[in-house]
Amino acid sequence: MTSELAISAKHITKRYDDKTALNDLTLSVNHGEIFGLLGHNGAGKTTTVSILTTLTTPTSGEATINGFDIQSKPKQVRQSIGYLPESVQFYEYLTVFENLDYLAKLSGLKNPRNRILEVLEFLEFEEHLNERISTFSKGMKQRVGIGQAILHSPQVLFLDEPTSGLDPEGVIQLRELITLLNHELGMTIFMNTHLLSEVTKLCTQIGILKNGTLIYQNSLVSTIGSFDAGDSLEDIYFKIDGANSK
Amino acid sequence: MITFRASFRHELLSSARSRSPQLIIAVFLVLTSISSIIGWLTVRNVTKIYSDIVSQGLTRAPNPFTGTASLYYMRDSVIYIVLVGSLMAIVLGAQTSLRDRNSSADVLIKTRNVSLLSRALGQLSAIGTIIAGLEAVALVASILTIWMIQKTPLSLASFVHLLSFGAISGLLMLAIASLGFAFGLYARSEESALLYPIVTWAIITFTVPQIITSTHPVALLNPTPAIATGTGLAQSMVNTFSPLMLMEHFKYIANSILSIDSSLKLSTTSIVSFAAFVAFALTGSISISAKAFGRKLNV
Amino acid sequence: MSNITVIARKEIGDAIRSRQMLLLVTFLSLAILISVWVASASFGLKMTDYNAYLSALTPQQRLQALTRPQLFPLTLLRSGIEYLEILGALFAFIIGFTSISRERSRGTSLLLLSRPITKREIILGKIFGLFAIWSVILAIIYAASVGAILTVGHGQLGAIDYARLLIAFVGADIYLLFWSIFAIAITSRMKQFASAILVGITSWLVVVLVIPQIGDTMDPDNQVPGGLFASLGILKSNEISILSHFHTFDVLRNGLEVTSITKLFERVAFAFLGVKDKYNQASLSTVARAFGTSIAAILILTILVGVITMMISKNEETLKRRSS
Repeated sequence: MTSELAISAKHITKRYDDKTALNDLTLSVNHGEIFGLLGHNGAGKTTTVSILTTLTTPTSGEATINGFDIQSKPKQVRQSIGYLPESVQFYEYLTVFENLDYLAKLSGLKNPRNRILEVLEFLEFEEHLNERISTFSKGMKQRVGIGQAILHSPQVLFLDEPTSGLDPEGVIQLRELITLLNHELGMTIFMNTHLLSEVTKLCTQIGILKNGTLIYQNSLVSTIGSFDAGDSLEDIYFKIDGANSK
Repeated sequence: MITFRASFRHELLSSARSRSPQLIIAVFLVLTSISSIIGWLTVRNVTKIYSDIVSQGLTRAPNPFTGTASLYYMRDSVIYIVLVGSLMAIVLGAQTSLRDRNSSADVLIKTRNVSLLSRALGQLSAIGTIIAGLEAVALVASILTIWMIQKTPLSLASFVHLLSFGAISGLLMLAIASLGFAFGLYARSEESALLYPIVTWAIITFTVPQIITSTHPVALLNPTPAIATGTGLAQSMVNTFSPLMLMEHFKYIANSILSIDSSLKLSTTSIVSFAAFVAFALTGSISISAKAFGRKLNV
Repeated sequence: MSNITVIARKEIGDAIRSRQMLLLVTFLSLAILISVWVASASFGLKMTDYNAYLSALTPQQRLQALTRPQLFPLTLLRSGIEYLEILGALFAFIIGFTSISRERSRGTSLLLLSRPITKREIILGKIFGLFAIWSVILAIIYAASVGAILTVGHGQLGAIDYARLLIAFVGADIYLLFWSIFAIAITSRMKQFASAILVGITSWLVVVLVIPQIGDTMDPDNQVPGGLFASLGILKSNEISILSHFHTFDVLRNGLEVTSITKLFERVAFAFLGVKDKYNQASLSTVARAFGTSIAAILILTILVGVITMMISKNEETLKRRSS
């Protein structure tokens, strides 16, 4: 099933006891976009991703992924998404292949061997196929993390702080990989980040979350165009953030 | 001294914030009260049957429960200490060291110039304080329950006996908690940290006494200690292994302190085995803890 | 292959790799083997005493001598069953606990939850996996026990004995599964693992110790060494008439005991293995008739805990990564 919007969220609110983590969030992302959700730590970015990936249910509001409602069709939603959690963890005592084989089967792939090899080749990681994850660096784990997220060829990929904790080389490699996934495989990408540089280098759309409220959403090009010519994205972010606090 | 005090206070604070020690206290209180009530039910039931027998003129023998010691009602507490007390002590001890390892606080502490021995002592003293508090609360609950059942308060002598029982129970729990603490620091994974001491406890509580006394495991749940009789095992083997029946020795000591069964004679083997275990567990755990501190936990 | 099968297979694979599992199986097997050895050694002592007694008698007296003690090989398993009922239950809880706690503390539960499978499938997969694991562990333990009976115990087993063993095996399998499912339920639901362990240990204590103990206490004959009635010199016929005055009390005692799955398992296993004198050498159908309700109760309790676990698994927080 394809729908006009890859991601659509309407009036999503999430409360934990007396704390509101997300307040009336409405956003939409078109197919093929790379959407960057910016915000300080604790702004509600991970809660947003958790709700859109069906890991958490919203207190109110509705959302669809690829046309599937997150609450009434969670299975279909999960079939059409891939998810890379922040600091992804694996079964460390298993090899790359064993980890991916398990997760691929749970994603509905009957004989996933060829697909796993294909994905690892795409990630340029095939030489590590039979190595145990326990020996891997953070960057290598992140690569396997991307691998597990795209095994079942999802249309939408959710990445939670994908570059956090990576060394500069790792960041560059991952950025290239995300661009590749978007350009070559046509995946829509939704990523959380608190790094403006990530957004500038990768995203086509941005949203800014502040204290659980989406205070801004626009395309990167329009965003830069609608502010002073000399403003960097950093200046723009603080202008929006500042205007919103007033 | 600063390290000791800081570790001691930190441990108490962490325990106060986490729900586990509160849960342990609740379980302990409920079970202590239950054990007194079970004792009361027994006496009441037997006395009723005895009265029935006497009214039919079928016996002239005295009521077997006449002159029951007032601490008889505490009989079942002995086995509760052996089971719930020990298991919860393992959890308490293991959780103390696992908390540091899980939060990676141990790495931060290792970068400071601290004496790991003082730190282990501080943490264990805090565990000891929690156990002492637990025993104190359980003691008050027992005194009140016995008072309610007997309708008279405990005599001073019984109170002292009860206090001594609380003290040796506390010692046993502290020794076992220290083993849990050491395993918590040493084990590679959270599961092993709990499993190894629990299996050790199971061997001491069930397997060793069974080999020596050929008592069935369910009978070992009895508060009265199992007696070494002929098992087909060479006497030299029985002599060698019997100090390891720690829980049976604890039962002997507890039964004689509570004056539950006058036929049970307290032997020096029981006292020496128990004291040696407590001393060994505490010193062993402290030295292992200081050495093992900072080991990486496999997740 | 269904999602449930995939998860169950992974669970089995993990168990094979696990050192802790090896430790538990080794301990349980050894403890049970030792218990068979101790029991047969005790029987050996009994026989020596009997032979000494016989040799002290004149040929005339021998005609009226006490009957020779008879060894019913399956009764050597009494301690083995008791190990399973006490420590097996505790270990089954721990194994169920680790099966969930590992996923949650590692954070791999997030990877599972983001797949197109339901929490129910994850939980069911784990339950089936644990069932298979327990079946294998018990098969090893039972095989070792049979070996011990045949060699150490010098017992001989007929086809009917193997049928009895099989029934006790299935009973133990379901009993241990009950504890593992219970562990899965509370570990997947509770935020702090320490609390889950404490709740587990407390429940274990109540079911394994407290309830049977209250039941025992309510049995007056258990309270005096040698039996209350014997110590008061009461004849068996009078004992029955006196106890009939306390019928309600006995119903209450029995009612309480059957709330403990441990007690139920013990009754069924002891009856089928002939540990309980009354049912020693009784036909399988006689025992089955007498214990049909107990067997049904074990099944109902296990299914009930399974259903509750499934209901809990719907909850949003279930299986989430540990927050503390």
